Amino acid sequence: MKKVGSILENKLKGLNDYIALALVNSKKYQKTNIEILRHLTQKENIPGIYVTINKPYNVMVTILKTNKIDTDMIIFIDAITKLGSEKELKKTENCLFIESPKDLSDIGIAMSQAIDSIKSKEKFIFLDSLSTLLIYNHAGTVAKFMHFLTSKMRTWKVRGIIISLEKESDKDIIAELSQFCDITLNFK
Amino acid sequence: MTELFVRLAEGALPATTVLILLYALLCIIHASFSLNALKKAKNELTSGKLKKFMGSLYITITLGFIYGLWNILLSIEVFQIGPDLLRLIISNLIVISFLMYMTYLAFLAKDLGDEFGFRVMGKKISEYVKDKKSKKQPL
Repeated sequence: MKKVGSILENKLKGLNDYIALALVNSKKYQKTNIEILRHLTQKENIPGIYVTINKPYNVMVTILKTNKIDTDMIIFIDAITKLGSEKELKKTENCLFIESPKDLSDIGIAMSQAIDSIKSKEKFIFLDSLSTLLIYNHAGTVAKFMHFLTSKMRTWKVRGIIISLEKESDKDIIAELSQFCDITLNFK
Repeated sequence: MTELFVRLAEGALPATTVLILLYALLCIIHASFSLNALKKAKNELTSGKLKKFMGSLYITITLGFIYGLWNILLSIEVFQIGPDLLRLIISNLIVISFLMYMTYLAFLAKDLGDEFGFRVMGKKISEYVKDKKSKKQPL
Protein backbone atom coordinates (compact mmCIF):
# COMPACT_ATOMS: atom_id res chain seq x y z
CA MET A 1 0.00 0.00 0.00
CA LYS A 2 2.86 2.36 -0.56
CA LYS A 3 0.97 3.54 -3.60
CA VAL A 4 -1.43 5.62 -1.47
CA GLY A 5 1.41 7.56 0.08
CA SER A 6 3.04 8.28 -3.25
CA ILE A 7 -0.28 9.36 -4.82
CA LEU A 8 -0.80 11.77 -1.92
CA GLU A 9 2.74 13.06 -2.16
CA ASN A 10 2.64 13.56 -5.90
CA LYS A 11 -0.79 15.05 -6.23
CA LEU A 12 -0.82 17.24 -3.14
CA LYS A 13 2.77 18.40 -3.39
CA GLY A 14 3.18 22.05 -2.46
CA LEU A 15 -0.37 22.46 -1.24
CA ASN A 16 -0.67 23.72 2.32
CA ASP A 17 -4.39 23.47 2.61
CA TYR A 18 -6.63 21.58 0.25
CA ILE A 19 -9.87 19.66 -0.03
CA ALA A 20 -9.47 16.28 -1.62
CA LEU A 21 -12.21 13.87 -2.58
CA ALA A 22 -10.78 10.37 -2.27
CA LEU A 23 -12.58 7.74 -4.31
CA VAL A 24 -11.88 4.34 -2.85
CA ASN A 25 -12.46 0.81 -3.99
CA SER A 26 -14.66 -1.04 -1.48
CA LYS A 27 -12.14 -3.90 -1.24
CA LYS A 28 -9.27 -1.61 -0.37
CA TYR A 29 -11.31 0.89 1.61
CA GLN A 30 -9.91 0.23 5.07
CA LYS A 31 -6.29 -0.06 3.97
CA THR A 32 -6.56 3.16 1.98
CA ASN A 33 -8.03 5.02 4.96
CA ILE A 34 -5.23 3.81 7.20
CA GLU A 35 -2.56 4.81 4.70
CA ILE A 36 -4.02 8.30 4.26
CA LEU A 37 -4.12 8.74 8.04
CA ARG A 38 -0.57 7.41 8.34
CA HIS A 39 0.54 9.95 5.76
CA LEU A 40 -1.14 12.80 7.64
CA THR A 41 -0.15 11.90 11.20
CA GLN A 42 3.30 10.35 10.64
CA LYS A 43 4.71 11.77 7.46
CA GLU A 44 3.27 15.27 7.77
CA ASN A 45 2.99 15.12 11.56
CA ILE A 46 -0.22 17.12 11.79
CA PRO A 47 -3.16 16.69 14.20
CA GLY A 48 -6.75 16.62 13.08
CA ILE A 49 -10.31 15.41 13.25
CA TYR A 50 -11.65 12.06 12.13
CA VAL A 51 -15.39 12.05 11.51
CA THR A 52 -16.54 8.47 11.51
CA ILE A 53 -19.95 7.56 10.19
CA ASN A 54 -18.88 4.11 9.12
CA LYS A 55 -17.39 2.30 12.09
CA PRO A 56 -17.81 2.90 15.83
CA TYR A 57 -15.07 4.82 17.61
CA ASN A 58 -13.78 1.87 19.66
CA VAL A 59 -13.49 -0.35 16.56
CA MET A 60 -11.79 2.47 14.67
CA VAL A 61 -9.29 3.13 17.46
CA THR A 62 -8.42 -0.57 17.71
CA ILE A 63 -7.86 -0.77 13.95
CA LEU A 64 -5.72 2.37 13.95
CA LYS A 65 -3.67 1.32 16.97
CA THR A 66 -3.07 -2.12 15.43
CA ASN A 67 -1.73 -0.31 12.39
CA LYS A 68 0.46 1.90 14.58
CA ILE A 69 -1.37 5.13 13.86
CA ASP A 70 -0.95 7.68 16.62
CA THR A 71 -4.55 8.20 17.78
CA ASP A 72 -3.44 10.78 20.37
CA MET A 73 -3.18 13.25 17.50
CA ILE A 74 -6.78 12.81 16.48
CA ILE A 75 -10.12 14.05 17.82
CA PHE A 76 -12.88 11.64 16.84
CA ILE A 77 -16.45 12.60 16.06
CA ASP A 78 -18.50 9.44 16.03
CA ALA A 79 -21.98 9.61 14.50
CA ILE A 80 -22.66 5.89 14.42
CA THR A 81 -22.10 4.35 17.87
CA LYS A 82 -25.13 5.99 19.52
CA LEU A 83 -27.38 4.76 16.75
CA GLY A 84 -27.00 1.14 17.74
CA SER A 85 -26.39 1.65 21.44
CA GLU A 86 -29.00 1.62 24.18
CA LYS A 87 -26.56 3.05 26.73
CA GLU A 88 -26.20 6.78 27.31
CA LEU A 89 -22.80 7.58 25.83
CA LYS A 90 -20.89 10.58 27.11
CA LYS A 91 -17.94 12.32 25.54
CA THR A 92 -14.70 10.39 26.15
CA GLU A 93 -11.08 11.52 26.30
CA ASN A 94 -10.91 12.25 22.58
CA CYS A 95 -14.27 11.38 21.09
CA LEU A 96 -17.65 13.04 20.85
CA PHE A 97 -20.65 10.86 20.09
CA ILE A 98 -23.39 12.32 17.88
CA GLU A 99 -26.89 10.81 18.11
CA SER A 100 -27.26 9.87 14.47
CA PRO A 101 -25.72 10.40 11.02
CA LYS A 102 -28.89 12.37 10.26
CA ASP A 103 -27.84 15.09 12.74
CA LEU A 104 -25.79 17.00 10.19
CA SER A 105 -26.10 20.32 12.04
CA ASP A 106 -24.65 18.72 15.18
CA ILE A 107 -21.83 17.15 13.16
CA GLY A 108 -21.05 20.56 11.65
CA ILE A 109 -20.98 22.29 15.05
CA ALA A 110 -18.84 19.54 16.59
CA MET A 111 -16.36 19.85 13.72
CA SER A 112 -16.22 23.61 14.04
CA GLN A 113 -15.60 23.44 17.81
CA ALA A 114 -13.01 20.68 17.47
CA ILE A 115 -11.05 22.43 14.73
CA ASP A 116 -11.02 25.69 16.71
CA SER A 117 -9.69 23.88 19.76
CA ILE A 118 -6.58 22.55 17.98
CA LYS A 119 -4.06 25.35 18.11
CA SER A 120 -1.56 23.91 15.60
CA LYS A 121 -1.06 25.85 12.41
CA GLU A 122 -1.68 22.82 10.22
CA LYS A 123 -4.56 20.44 10.83
CA PHE A 124 -6.69 17.99 8.91
CA ILE A 125 -10.30 16.88 8.68
CA PHE A 126 -11.00 13.34 7.57
CA LEU A 127 -14.60 12.49 6.69
CA ASP A 128 -15.38 8.79 6.58
CA SER A 129 -17.49 8.56 4.47
CA LEU A 130 -19.73 10.33 2.00
CA SER A 131 -21.29 7.03 0.93
CA THR A 132 -22.53 6.29 4.46
CA LEU A 133 -23.91 9.81 4.85
CA LEU A 134 -25.95 9.12 1.74
CA ILE A 135 -27.49 6.02 3.30
CA TYR A 136 -29.00 8.09 6.11
CA ASN A 137 -29.76 11.38 4.34
CA HIS A 138 -31.27 12.59 1.09
CA ALA A 139 -28.75 13.32 -1.66
CA GLY A 140 -29.84 16.98 -1.74
CA THR A 141 -29.29 17.40 2.00
CA VAL A 142 -25.87 15.75 1.79
CA ALA A 143 -24.88 17.95 -1.18
CA LYS A 144 -25.90 21.06 0.79
CA PHE A 145 -24.00 19.85 3.84
CA MET A 146 -20.90 19.06 1.81
CA HIS A 147 -21.01 22.48 0.19
CA PHE A 148 -21.23 24.08 3.63
CA LEU A 149 -18.43 21.86 4.91
CA THR A 150 -16.05 22.49 2.02
CA SER A 151 -16.51 26.24 2.29
CA LYS A 152 -15.91 25.98 6.05
CA MET A 153 -12.76 23.92 5.43
CA ARG A 154 -11.44 26.74 3.27
CA THR A 155 -12.04 29.30 6.02
CA TRP A 156 -10.43 27.02 8.60
CA LYS A 157 -7.44 26.52 6.25
CA VAL A 158 -7.25 22.79 6.88
CA ARG A 159 -6.35 19.75 4.83
CA GLY A 160 -9.63 18.07 4.10
CA ILE A 161 -10.03 14.49 2.95
CA ILE A 162 -13.50 13.28 2.04
CA ILE A 163 -13.71 9.55 1.53
CA SER A 164 -16.26 8.04 -0.80
CA LEU A 165 -16.74 4.58 -2.18
CA GLU A 166 -16.81 4.36 -5.93
CA LYS A 167 -20.45 3.43 -6.41
CA GLU A 168 -22.59 3.72 -9.49
CA SER A 169 -25.50 5.06 -7.43
CA ASP A 170 -23.46 7.93 -5.97
CA LYS A 171 -22.05 9.11 -9.29
CA ASP A 172 -24.17 12.26 -9.49
CA ILE A 173 -23.32 13.54 -6.03
CA ILE A 174 -19.64 12.67 -6.50
CA ALA A 175 -19.63 14.72 -9.70
CA GLU A 176 -21.32 17.58 -7.84
CA LEU A 177 -18.95 17.35 -4.90
CA SER A 178 -15.84 17.25 -7.06
CA GLN A 179 -16.73 20.82 -8.11
CA PHE A 180 -16.27 22.01 -4.51
CA CYS A 181 -13.04 20.06 -4.00
CA ASP A 182 -9.56 21.01 -5.20
CA ILE A 183 -8.66 17.54 -6.34
CA THR A 184 -10.18 14.09 -6.83
CA LEU A 185 -7.89 11.23 -5.85
CA ASN A 186 -8.56 7.81 -7.29
CA PHE A 187 -7.47 4.92 -5.09
CA LYS A 188 -8.84 2.01 -7.07
CA MET B 1 -61.67 48.39 21.62
CA THR B 2 -62.59 51.88 20.32
CA GLU B 3 -63.86 52.70 23.78
CA LEU B 4 -60.46 51.75 25.14
CA PHE B 5 -58.66 54.15 22.77
CA VAL B 6 -61.12 56.92 23.63
CA ARG B 7 -60.53 56.34 27.34
CA LEU B 8 -56.78 56.18 26.67
CA ALA B 9 -56.88 59.49 24.77
CA GLU B 10 -58.95 61.11 27.46
CA GLY B 11 -56.51 59.92 30.08
CA ALA B 12 -59.34 58.15 31.80
CA LEU B 13 -57.42 54.89 32.14
CA PRO B 14 -55.52 54.33 35.38
CA ALA B 15 -51.74 54.79 35.06
CA THR B 16 -51.06 51.19 36.06
CA THR B 17 -53.31 49.86 33.28
CA VAL B 18 -51.54 52.05 30.72
CA LEU B 19 -48.17 50.81 31.95
CA ILE B 20 -49.24 47.16 31.85
CA LEU B 21 -50.63 47.70 28.35
CA LEU B 22 -47.37 49.25 27.20
CA TYR B 23 -45.21 46.48 28.66
CA ALA B 24 -47.48 43.82 27.21
CA LEU B 25 -47.35 45.44 23.77
CA LEU B 26 -43.55 45.61 23.91
CA CYS B 27 -43.47 41.98 25.02
CA ILE B 28 -45.63 40.91 22.08
CA ILE B 29 -43.62 42.89 19.52
CA HIS B 30 -40.28 41.47 20.73
CA ALA B 31 -41.63 37.95 21.05
CA SER B 32 -43.12 38.05 17.53
CA PHE B 33 -39.83 39.14 15.97
CA SER B 34 -37.87 36.58 17.98
CA LEU B 35 -40.26 33.76 17.14
CA ASN B 36 -40.10 34.62 13.46
CA ALA B 37 -36.28 34.68 13.43
CA LEU B 38 -36.08 31.49 15.46
CA LYS B 39 -38.52 29.67 13.20
CA LYS B 40 -36.39 30.51 10.16
CA ALA B 41 -33.22 29.32 11.92
CA LYS B 42 -34.90 26.13 13.16
CA ASN B 43 -36.13 25.25 9.69
CA GLU B 44 -32.55 25.30 8.39
CA LEU B 45 -31.33 22.78 10.96
CA THR B 46 -31.38 19.01 10.76
CA SER B 47 -32.43 17.03 13.84
CA GLY B 48 -30.11 16.93 16.84
CA LYS B 49 -29.22 18.68 20.07
CA LEU B 50 -29.08 22.16 18.60
CA LYS B 51 -32.55 21.78 17.12
CA LYS B 52 -33.81 20.52 20.49
CA PHE B 53 -32.33 23.60 22.14
CA MET B 54 -33.96 25.88 19.60
CA GLY B 55 -37.29 24.07 20.03
CA SER B 56 -37.19 24.72 23.76
CA LEU B 57 -36.18 28.34 23.22
CA TYR B 58 -39.16 28.65 20.88
CA ILE B 59 -41.51 27.37 23.58
CA THR B 60 -39.99 29.75 26.15
CA ILE B 61 -40.48 32.77 23.91
CA THR B 62 -43.99 31.59 23.07
CA LEU B 63 -44.77 31.59 26.79
CA GLY B 64 -43.53 35.19 26.94
CA PHE B 65 -45.78 36.00 24.00
CA ILE B 66 -48.77 34.37 25.70
CA TYR B 67 -48.06 36.31 28.89
CA GLY B 68 -48.00 39.59 26.94
CA LEU B 69 -51.23 38.73 25.17
CA TRP B 70 -52.88 37.66 28.42
CA ASN B 71 -52.00 41.00 30.04
CA ILE B 72 -53.39 42.95 27.09
CA LEU B 73 -56.63 41.01 27.21
CA LEU B 74 -56.95 41.69 30.91
CA SER B 75 -56.09 45.39 30.55
CA ILE B 76 -58.58 46.11 27.81
CA GLU B 77 -61.16 43.98 29.57
CA VAL B 78 -62.13 42.06 26.46
CA PHE B 79 -63.59 39.31 28.52
CA GLN B 80 -64.28 38.89 32.17
CA ILE B 81 -62.54 36.01 33.79
CA GLY B 82 -64.17 34.93 36.99
CA PRO B 83 -62.79 36.03 40.32
CA ASP B 84 -59.44 37.79 40.80
CA LEU B 85 -57.98 34.64 42.27
CA LEU B 86 -58.47 32.75 38.99
CA ARG B 87 -56.76 35.54 37.02
CA LEU B 88 -53.89 35.49 39.47
CA ILE B 89 -53.55 31.70 39.20
CA ILE B 90 -53.51 31.79 35.38
CA SER B 91 -50.97 34.65 35.31
CA ASN B 92 -48.73 32.84 37.77
CA LEU B 93 -49.03 29.55 35.90
CA ILE B 94 -47.75 31.23 32.72
CA VAL B 95 -44.88 32.92 34.59
CA ILE B 96 -43.92 29.71 36.40
CA SER B 97 -43.95 27.72 33.13
CA PHE B 98 -41.77 30.42 31.58
CA LEU B 99 -39.29 30.21 34.46
CA MET B 100 -39.27 26.39 34.34
CA TYR B 101 -38.51 26.46 30.63
CA MET B 102 -35.74 29.01 31.26
CA THR B 103 -34.12 26.59 33.72
CA TYR B 104 -34.54 23.71 31.26
CA LEU B 105 -32.89 25.86 28.59
CA ALA B 106 -29.97 26.59 30.89
CA PHE B 107 -29.45 22.85 31.47
CA LEU B 108 -29.68 22.18 27.74
CA ALA B 109 -27.07 24.89 27.17
CA LYS B 110 -24.84 23.28 29.81
CA ASP B 111 -25.24 19.94 28.00
CA LEU B 112 -24.32 21.57 24.70
CA GLY B 113 -21.21 23.09 26.27
CA ASP B 114 -20.17 19.76 27.81
CA GLU B 115 -20.79 17.83 24.62
CA PHE B 116 -19.43 20.21 22.04
CA GLY B 117 -16.65 21.78 24.09
CA PHE B 118 -13.25 20.58 22.90
CA ARG B 119 -11.07 23.19 24.61
CA VAL B 120 -9.21 20.78 26.94
CA MET B 121 -9.01 18.05 24.31
CA GLY B 122 -7.65 20.41 21.66
CA LYS B 123 -5.11 21.93 24.04
CA LYS B 124 -3.85 18.45 24.95
CA ILE B 125 -3.46 17.48 21.29
CA SER B 126 -1.74 20.75 20.39
CA GLU B 127 0.77 20.30 23.23
CA TYR B 128 1.33 16.66 22.29
CA VAL B 129 2.06 17.56 18.66
CA LYS B 130 4.37 20.41 19.71
CA ASP B 131 6.23 18.03 21.99
CA LYS B 132 6.47 15.42 19.25
CA LYS B 133 7.81 17.94 16.76
CA SER B 134 10.45 19.22 19.18
CA LYS B 135 11.60 15.66 19.85
CA LYS B 136 11.92 15.08 16.10
CA GLN B 137 14.08 18.17 15.64
CA PRO B 138 16.80 18.06 18.30
CA LEU B 139 18.91 21.17 18.74
